[in-house]
Amino acid sequence: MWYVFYMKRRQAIQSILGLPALTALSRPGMARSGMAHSGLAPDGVAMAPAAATARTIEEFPKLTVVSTEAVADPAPTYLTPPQFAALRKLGDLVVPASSGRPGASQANAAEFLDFLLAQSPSNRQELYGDGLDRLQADAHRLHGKAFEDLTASEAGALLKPLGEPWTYRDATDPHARFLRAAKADLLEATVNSREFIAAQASHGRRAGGLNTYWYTIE
Amino acid sequence: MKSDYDVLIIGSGASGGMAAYILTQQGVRCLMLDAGPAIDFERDRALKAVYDLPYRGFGQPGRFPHVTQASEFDANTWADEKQNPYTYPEDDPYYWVRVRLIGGKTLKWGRASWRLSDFEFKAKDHDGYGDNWPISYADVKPFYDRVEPIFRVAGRREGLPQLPDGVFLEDDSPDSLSVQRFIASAQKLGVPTTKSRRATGALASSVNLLLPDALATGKLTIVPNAVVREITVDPKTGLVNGVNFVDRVSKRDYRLPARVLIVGASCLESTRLLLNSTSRPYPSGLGNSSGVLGRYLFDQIYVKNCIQCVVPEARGGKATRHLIGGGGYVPRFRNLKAGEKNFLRGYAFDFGSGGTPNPKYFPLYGDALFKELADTQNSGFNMTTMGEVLPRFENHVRINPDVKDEWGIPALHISQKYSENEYAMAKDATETAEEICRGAGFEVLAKHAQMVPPGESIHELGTCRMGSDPKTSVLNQFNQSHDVKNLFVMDGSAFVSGGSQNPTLTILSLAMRSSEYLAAKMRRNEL
Repeated sequence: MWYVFYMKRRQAIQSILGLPALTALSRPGMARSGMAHSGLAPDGVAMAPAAATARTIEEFPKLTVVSTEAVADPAPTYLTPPQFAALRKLGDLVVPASSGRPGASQANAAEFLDFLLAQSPSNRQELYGDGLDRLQADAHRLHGKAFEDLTASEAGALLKPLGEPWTYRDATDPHARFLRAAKADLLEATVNSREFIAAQASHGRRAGGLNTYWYTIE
Repeated sequence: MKSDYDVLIIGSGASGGMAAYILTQQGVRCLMLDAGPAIDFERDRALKAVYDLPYRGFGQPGRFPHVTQASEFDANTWADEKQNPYTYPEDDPYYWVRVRLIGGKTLKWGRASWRLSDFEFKAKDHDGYGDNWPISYADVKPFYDRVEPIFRVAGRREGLPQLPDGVFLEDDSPDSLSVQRFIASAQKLGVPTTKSRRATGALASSVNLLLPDALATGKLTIVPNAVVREITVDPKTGLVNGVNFVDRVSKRDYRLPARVLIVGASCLESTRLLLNSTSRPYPSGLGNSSGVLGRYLFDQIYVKNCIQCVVPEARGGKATRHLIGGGGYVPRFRNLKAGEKNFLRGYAFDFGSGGTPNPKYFPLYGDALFKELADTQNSGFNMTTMGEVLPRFENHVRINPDVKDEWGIPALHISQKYSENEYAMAKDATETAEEICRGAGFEVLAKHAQMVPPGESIHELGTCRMGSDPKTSVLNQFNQSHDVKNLFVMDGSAFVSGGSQNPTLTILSLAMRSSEYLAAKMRRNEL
């Protein structure tokens, strides 16, 4: 099943990004599970090498590489499974997918925030840990099930602080503070994702997310 | 001595850059030290997508707790807070924002270029508070007139006494309808407006406008990565005789002699260097016989986005270029007659039309939020307050001997608090902003009067102020130390008061004025 999920996700990303070359990539498990690949040569037949490019020994060819996220799914390691499930569900509620617009799940926003939280200051970690625990506790207390299993209407009742008007000062209630922070973070993690930006570009909108990056200056 | 030069300059930003620009043109040989490296614009930057950054645009957590301006894209261009620590009172955080690169903060500045007037230079005469500068607007005007063309400042002449006109590239661009409505509403309240006045060009920095011309004279040598530990004096004469510095990368120590020294390392770094330069003649810091070195620290209050509005007619995809876009500036209008309000001095606003309001302003999430964002796309109108901070003796910096930087140099302890005057000013500003915006027919989404912490405006000023009386000031009117005649401090630390105008244009103009004074003194062999 993981393979089916993986292929669907990879294909979706490839179609968004226009990366046909990724179909030629395989994961280590693919060979072991005996999956045939149409590009493989039959047994005993050597593949003809691509025509060699004439290069002098002084040349240093620049190899084409891709980023890790283009080929692999991030593995959450920081939040507990119930906390992570709650964050993923919260992402679906705050930044749902719609036609032509990936949501937080498609953008792996929860997985990214798990990574970010692992390196964040302790007050940020506590804010998220307590907030996600509270969502799970309230879901079990009010509905007898996990937060990720709530309907949108059931979950919505737990997100009432997000309906309060904005104030410059942080809310005094830590849960309201958490929800405000999570809303902002899930939105940013989504709109800054490869998936979201590629989808925006494919719909003819201006491609965002490009900027001048400064390397370490020595 | 390996190098032969007349003047040693510490710092390469607005003041150091201008000093080199003027002095080298007058034949003075200059050696410039800067604590940071030089940017190679070909090698050091590249276009990247936010999703290819390690932290997806959030930045590395905890890397810049006090530099809200830093993004993950430009994080490597701000001074590292761990390498360059400082302290402040537990309950009064100070946000010290630094750049350690050749060019300094002129690589980063917002380019707003406003002149000070005698409402600032002679502020005490106006309302009785604080001290006057030892100079008037008439003394600085000729230098403003020369600096503005170098920095290609664009603006519109208005004839306002509190915001003198300059030598501008005339900005006669038309205002959008929303800006016209804002101006009309402000006028009804007696509030003046003008176009922004900004330096133009792809880059408006010491790096491209000052240093290349200085280098072209053949009279300037620039040494990057030279972190100055202390300035030394001749115990017999009490004059500066050199500096000790350490190479930023190798951490090897070096020594340079100096005949004349200009310090332009940025406001607080310059004062830190002077405070760290103790000697028998100057046990409490170089040139500090007055005891005010490190005192009278101030900046400008900022209430960022004090009001966020939506232009109702621009909702639903109707944000046309005719209706939306552009912006401007509201110059100080409070207390032009002293005693008008329950606070001293005044404030200004930046205002801008356009942009989509931040999602945080909407009490929504999910599809409802996205629908609202689509409806308000590019329909925003917002204002930011910048206000004068009263210079006060108790706001100060001192050396914290218990904390040292990466190079073993004692760090600063910075203590600045806003007073009731600044709080009252911020409150009045937000109320006024709301009145103008509502009068213009804008829909107010959010408003607040919360000032950013001291320092965050990056307009830190004072701590080495000029004055006529050596007992109450460190420098004379030419940025020259009262105590040490071959020492000049030319950056924002020399300010006596700052108004609400961004200070860089005045720093540049004063550095030009003082450098010409210095060159004349050297020609006459008086230094």
